Amino acid sequence: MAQINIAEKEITVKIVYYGPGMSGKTTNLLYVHQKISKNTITDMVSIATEGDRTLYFDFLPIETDIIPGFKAKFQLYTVPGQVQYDATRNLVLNGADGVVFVADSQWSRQKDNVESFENLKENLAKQGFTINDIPYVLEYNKRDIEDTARVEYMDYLLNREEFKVPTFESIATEGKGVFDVLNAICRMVVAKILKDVKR
Amino acid sequence: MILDQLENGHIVLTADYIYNQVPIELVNFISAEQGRDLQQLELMIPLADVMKQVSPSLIAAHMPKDQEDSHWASEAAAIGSEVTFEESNIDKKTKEKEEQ
Repeated sequence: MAQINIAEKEITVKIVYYGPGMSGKTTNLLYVHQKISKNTITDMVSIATEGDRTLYFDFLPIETDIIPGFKAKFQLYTVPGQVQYDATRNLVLNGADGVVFVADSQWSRQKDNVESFENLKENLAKQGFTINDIPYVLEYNKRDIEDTARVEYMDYLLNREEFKVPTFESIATEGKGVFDVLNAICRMVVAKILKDVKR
Repeated sequence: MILDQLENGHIVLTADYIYNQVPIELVNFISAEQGRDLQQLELMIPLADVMKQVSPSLIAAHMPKDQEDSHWASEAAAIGSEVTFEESNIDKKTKEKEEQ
C-alpha cells in the first residue's frame, strides 16, 4: 500500500500493469518513458529475455506534486505475463495500490485474458484482498489489429465484477490511450489514498 | 452449450456432443493426437465466428443487473486535472512551473 513520508512530504504509490503475455504491458511503460517529461522521470529498468519477453518485471518511476504540499511518486511495474512466472507476478503485485489490466483484443487471446484476470484475482486473494478492494482499470489493447473482439464482449468477459470499472481502448505501439489509462489509474489511486487519510 | 461457454473466452465441444447434433458421417474427429473416447475428443470452435452470430443484446442481457460503477472512478473524477501526466514530453505541473 502507499507509503506516506510526512517528513519528506512524499507519497509513494505502486501501480502494476497486469495481463497475459504479449498483451502490451511493457509497450505501455516504454511509451510513457519516451513521452513523459524528463523532469518527472528517471530511468526505466527492464529485465527481458532475448525475445523481448519480460522475464522479471519492468519498473518506471514518475513523479508529480499532485497533492498540495506533497510530492507523489508513482512507481509503474509490469509483471511477466507468461503462465510459468506466477511466483514473480505474486511478488510484483504485493503492495500494489492500483492495477492496470492490459487485455489483448484479438479473438484468439480471449481465453488468455480470462485466465490472466482469474490469476490476478487469485494472487490478490493470496494477499488477503479481492479485486473490489483495489482500484483498477481495464485496457483493451491492440485495437488496430483486424478482427478484434467487440468491446461489449470484452466487457462481458472482464468487467462483470461487483463494480463496473473504467475501460479504455488502446493501441500501445502508437501510444493511443496509454496516457488516458495512466491518468485514470493514478487519479483513482490518489482518490483512494485521500479517502483513506481522511478516515 | 456454446452460450454457456462464452464467458470463458473460448468454446470447446466434445465429439460426443457433436455426434448427437449432426450425422456422424459429416464429422471426422479422429486424429492421431487424441484418443478414441468420444467424450474426450474435443473440437475448438472459432470464437469470432460464433460471436459474429450472437446479438450484442444477448451479451448485454447477461451482464450483471445490480452492478455499480466503481466508486474510486467517480471520486477520481472530482480530483480531475490535479493528476495529469501529458505525453507532450512535459507534464502539466512542470509546464505550469516553467510558465511561472
